[in-house]
Amino acid sequence: MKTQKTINLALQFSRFPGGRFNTDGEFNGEKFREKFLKPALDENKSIVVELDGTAGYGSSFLEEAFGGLVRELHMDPADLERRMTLVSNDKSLISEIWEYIKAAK
Amino acid sequence: MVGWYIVSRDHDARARRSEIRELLKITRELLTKTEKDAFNYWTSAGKPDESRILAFDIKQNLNRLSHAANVLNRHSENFRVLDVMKQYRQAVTGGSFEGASRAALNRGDERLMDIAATAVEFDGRLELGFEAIYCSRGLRAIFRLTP
Repeated sequence: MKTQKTINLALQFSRFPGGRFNTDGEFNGEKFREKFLKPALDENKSIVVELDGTAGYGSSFLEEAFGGLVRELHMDPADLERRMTLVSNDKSLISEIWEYIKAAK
Repeated sequence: MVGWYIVSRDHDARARRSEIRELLKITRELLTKTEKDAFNYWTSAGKPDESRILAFDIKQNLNRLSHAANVLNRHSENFRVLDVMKQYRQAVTGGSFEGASRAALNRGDERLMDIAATAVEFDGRLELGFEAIYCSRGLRAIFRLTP
């Protein structure tokens, strides 16, 4: 298992993320979770997700991408807290994402 | 020398207050715009392209609003707006926002009331923050001048 991976959402996924599922749009939350977050967490001890640089996030995207790690993939919120670091100049965004992770069942 | 320092310091404080007032004005404009756009978005299923454009505008302006909220919060912890920013974004863009099967909401829908209530709360926090910093300083300044 590698040590750490950094994911820059805007550069590596899309500057225009939106929607929850494939039916909602190309750069949706489910896709980001399945194609970026899950493989990175499977292959690395820790990950860093850089959130700045997009045109903006909808809460539906954030909940599906990050809350879905717990709700759909049954990851442990405490383990995610240890292994995943969110980076953004927007503190409210980071707070919102962790709220989804802790609330998801 | 001391007099120059006091004049310079007071000038800087007034300039800073003006900057914050201007930022508050921009923040309020973004709040009003996103609230109006969100109401239009959620009450109409709309044509797919039109909906997509409006959704993009809403997210982009929420991004700007969030940036302003963070700047204000960094200026002073009296601007307690980060939590309400999160709640506002959730109200405006949560649920089936951008969902392919999203249907138009009725005007009395809970989501719309939530958006309106959170916008009011946000606006109130902005004003409270400004008053906490500048009005109290004003009172202190008056007290110092009293013999």
